[in-house]
Amino acid sequence: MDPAAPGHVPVVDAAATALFGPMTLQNAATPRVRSVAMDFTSVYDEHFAFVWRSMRRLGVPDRALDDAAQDVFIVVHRRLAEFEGRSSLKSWLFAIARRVAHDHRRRIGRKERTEELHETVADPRGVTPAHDAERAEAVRTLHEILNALDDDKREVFVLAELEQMTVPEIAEAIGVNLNTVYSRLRAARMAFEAAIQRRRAQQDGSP
Amino acid sequence: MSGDELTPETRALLGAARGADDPADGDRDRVRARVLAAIGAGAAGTAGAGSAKAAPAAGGAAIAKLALLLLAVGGVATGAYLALRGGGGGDAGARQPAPVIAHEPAPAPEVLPELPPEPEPELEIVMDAEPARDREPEGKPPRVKRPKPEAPEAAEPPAPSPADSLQAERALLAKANAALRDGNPDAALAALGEHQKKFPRGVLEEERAATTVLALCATGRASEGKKSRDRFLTAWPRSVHAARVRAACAD
Repeated sequence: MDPAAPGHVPVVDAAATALFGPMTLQNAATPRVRSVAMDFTSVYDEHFAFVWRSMRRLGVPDRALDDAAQDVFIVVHRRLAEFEGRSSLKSWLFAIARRVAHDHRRRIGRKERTEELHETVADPRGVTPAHDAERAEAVRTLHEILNALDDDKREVFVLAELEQMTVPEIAEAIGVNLNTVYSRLRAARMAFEAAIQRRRAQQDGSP
Repeated sequence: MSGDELTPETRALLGAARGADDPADGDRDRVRARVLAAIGAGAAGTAGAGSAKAAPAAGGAAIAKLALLLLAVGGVATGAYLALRGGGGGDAGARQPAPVIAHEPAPAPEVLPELPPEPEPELEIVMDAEPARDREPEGKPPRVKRPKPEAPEAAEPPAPSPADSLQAERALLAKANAALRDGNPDAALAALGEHQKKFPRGVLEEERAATTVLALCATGRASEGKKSRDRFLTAWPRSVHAARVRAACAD
């Protein structure tokens, strides 16, 4: 179902139980994490922006952001009592967000979305304030390149280069070991740089 | 390029784009209201059926509508918030020992499995969710939809646009864009109107709305264009087309 369609049913991740099991740990949480983990409102207030940004950067279309963010926080609400803090809250939230984003994103194919960006809105006059235009171009470029990365590279790149998360945090968030994160990050940077260079070459070659 | 670090050019690009993905205050409040409504619906469903998983979808929808109705009269935010807090009146330290929505205490696996291709939700929280395009202006509660008497509540919504529909949508948008480029905004509006008629909730609705603003402004119908522009920016405040739309009918 189109996530933006009327009657959208928030799909509370079917794998949620499996997903959150490893994060439900018996060891004592730190006071900081524990106090946050028990208070859904605080988690929402403090981390909504992170979840929203992550959804956008993981390719959830604007039209589906409300649904996706809602789905994330429904899962958070369900599972928060089980979160005891061995992983960072941010990592835990991203682990939820990436699953929800995956579900929403596959409803609108990557190619289709990218083609929309390129082809569906004309700019007959090209009149835009310089600052807005530059920023819009930067955002468009970022998202187009992120869209072209595979999911593994994309997630690591977003967390490392845009969220400034540490490699251990990233490893927790996506459930891989440190060496894998380093490897993916290196590959993601190379792929991103290559995409930048390709774009520059296209611009240089254009009339 | 070793992959050990990014070039200054790329860092500059990331710096320019970094803050653009942040939500607006309206996004935060709007989603909060929806989450609270859904949580309230889930709590009621749990109480009524003993298990949210066992609750029939139609019942969940009815409960969700009730939650939205409460939200519309301003009660659900407080009610769900208090439910979240265990119903305590002003005791910020008092907490529910468990979330309001019941969850299955399923055993934890050893590893994180991949999401199955077509997951069956363990718990479905059914609510009459508003699509993004129907967002109310920021700060207002969601609109309550009244059920159509001729349609059962549990009826499936329309299927998503198949690939051929998307091709047809894109063709109409391309036609509109070509007309705009040719200096014929009226023809563009005609194509956009056709898109609106054939695909009122199409995949490219956002792009249709953006192009409509451009076309209206190009015809000189500034008042109409500005209204469309404002509606667009309310519905898609973070759109990649926002800057262009914002500039289309300058105030």
